[in-house]
Amino acid sequence: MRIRDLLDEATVKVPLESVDKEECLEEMVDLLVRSGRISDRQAALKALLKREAQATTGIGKGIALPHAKHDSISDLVVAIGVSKDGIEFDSVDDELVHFVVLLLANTSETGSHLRTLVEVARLVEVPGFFRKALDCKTSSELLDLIDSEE
Amino acid sequence: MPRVDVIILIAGLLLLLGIASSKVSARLGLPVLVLFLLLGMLAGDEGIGGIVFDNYELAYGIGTLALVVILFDGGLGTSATSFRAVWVPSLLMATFGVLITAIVTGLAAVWILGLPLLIGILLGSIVGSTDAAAVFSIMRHGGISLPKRLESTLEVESASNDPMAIFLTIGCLEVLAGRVTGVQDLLGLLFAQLTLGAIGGLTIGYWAVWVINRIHLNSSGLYPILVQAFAWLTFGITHWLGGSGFLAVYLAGLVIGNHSIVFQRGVRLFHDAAAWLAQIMMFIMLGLLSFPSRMFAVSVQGLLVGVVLLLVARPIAISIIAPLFRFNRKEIIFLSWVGLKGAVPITLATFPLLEGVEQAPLIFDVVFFVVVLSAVVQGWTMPYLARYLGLEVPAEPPPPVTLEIMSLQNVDGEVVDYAVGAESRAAGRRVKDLALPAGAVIALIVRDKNVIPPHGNTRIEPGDHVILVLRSDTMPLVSRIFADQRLVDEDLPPLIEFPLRPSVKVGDLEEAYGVRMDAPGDWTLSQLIRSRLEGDELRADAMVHFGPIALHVRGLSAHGTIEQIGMVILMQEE
Repeated sequence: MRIRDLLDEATVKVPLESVDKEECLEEMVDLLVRSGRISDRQAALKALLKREAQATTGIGKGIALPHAKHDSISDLVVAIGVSKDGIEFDSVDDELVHFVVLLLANTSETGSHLRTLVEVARLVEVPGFFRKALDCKTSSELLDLIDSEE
Repeated sequence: MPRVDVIILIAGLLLLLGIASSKVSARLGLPVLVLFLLLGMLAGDEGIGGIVFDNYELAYGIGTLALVVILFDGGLGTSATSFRAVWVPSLLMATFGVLITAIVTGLAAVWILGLPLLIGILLGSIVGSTDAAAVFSIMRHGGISLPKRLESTLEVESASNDPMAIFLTIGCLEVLAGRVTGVQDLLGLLFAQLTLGAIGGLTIGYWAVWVINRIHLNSSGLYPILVQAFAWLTFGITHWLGGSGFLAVYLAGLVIGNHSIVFQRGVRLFHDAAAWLAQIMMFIMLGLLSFPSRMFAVSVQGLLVGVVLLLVARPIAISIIAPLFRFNRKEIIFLSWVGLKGAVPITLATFPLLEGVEQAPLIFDVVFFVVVLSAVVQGWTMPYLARYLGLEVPAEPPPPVTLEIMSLQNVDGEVVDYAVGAESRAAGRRVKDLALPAGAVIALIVRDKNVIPPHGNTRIEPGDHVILVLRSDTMPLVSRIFADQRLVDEDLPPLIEFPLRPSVKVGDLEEAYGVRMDAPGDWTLSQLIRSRLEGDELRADAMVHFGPIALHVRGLSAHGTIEQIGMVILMQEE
């Protein structure tokens, strides 16, 4: 599975405008709502916040991977955003977050949900990827980068 | 015909020299195949060796067999994931790309060499394809790492473009001989080559996997031979049916390489060695076959044709096709430049000779010149170009040596030998502090020539070989522990690890990630970890494995309370 195949210009945002976690989740869920990938905005947000309550998905070094499952989501969907100024995401290392990958899946989904998280992990671990992602000025540049690094 | 013992002696010497030249290759920055070619020329009748070899039919036979072995090994080493990601652009380059390259080069040859139109196109067709042996040799042993997609595109293209070049060459010859007149016949020929090639390769590939895993041979040494036999069979059957044997053998390799088979590592090692032997043999033979004096006689025309091919024809073809697939400018420049030529054109150049085409000797000499030019110039400059364009990516850390537990059965476990470098995370730590996942144990430690039985307090030192028995799915995690820290980008987390509160309930985690933890749903993660780790095992950095995830104790209080937990998703292959 390729992350690139789950994305298009409507689900990638460069740069993100939000400054904190809640705003950021809303901003990225809205990308998915506007592109018609999910229908129940409130439910998606609630599920994401519930997962954040178990502990933050700001995993450190400027990266956050919020993810959740909910019945209202039909297919596995992904949104990606880059923030130049950084987002207060309550990260484990207290650093601001610059690269956010948001993942939503149906409750019954098991394998592909985890696999996609692993794929995302592989992607952000490519040496130099993070730095290059921050240099992207438009969503199409970011898509090209993901395409070439995957 | 010289005596057999003399032939064997000379072949042995040439192999030895070939291997010796591979040692020099890295220092000179020259691809090994160029050295093999030069070695062949030196050994030839115009060089110091004085070996006379001008048997085109034998050369064609050896060249074909070598190509079968090289392509099959290439298929074995290509992951299905990367193949799926690039096959569309690669296939377009392998068909329309070759057509465009052949026509542009052919027209140039008509003008430069004063050939009739069809003979010019014939020459263009012969040099139209990118050579798999050359590309694989430089990609895998050339000392550079490229972005995955770029590398796969080139490899798949070169592995699948020979049918088009062969088709164009045979097509031209058929028309010249008056055997084929209609465009329909020609298109039918191409269609048969591609479809039968694909069907033959995939069918026999799957059949081979089925047979290999059920045959239960008594000697493990027979498995690599069995696999190789399927490669030859694939080529033979497909070719006989009228499909492209080269395409088929690559696809069969791809299928077999992406399935779990008995004695897998032995099979891979054997084919790696076979591919090396094939490369050395083929390129030395091509060098022997060449006549530097005749190449010199056509050097001006050859150079002109080569320049058109390298700098005009392929770049035109690539810049039409590649932009459709979101390749950026730098990648297009690189793809344009890396259309290395190799043995296929030389093999194809013997076709007109065998057909008795009037201009055949001229075509052969020009083709040979162009191939040498391409191999030397493009092969030599490719790593530098990749660096100049900023396309090089850091090489992956060398994989640990893996020994198979049982050669004759498929076991989901491995014995792995990790060499501990000074910069390894494990260096200087005690065995019990390594945080090995459940499902991995250290069997023994080899220090110099001594075997040290591992205990919890044994300290691992740089230079040690640590031999582990592990479940296959824990290997990525274990490799992290032993990896050289310098190779892991310091800017990034060592493994994606999600923090979790120790008070999170087992049931919630099971629901969120669809994993089964075999514990009551109302337990906390802290309780769960305590129930799994006894006494001394509960320490900061301890790791407990639950199917696709592992829980990592990140912090313990002075009283032994778990303060922080991390969840790691193991990097499983699909």
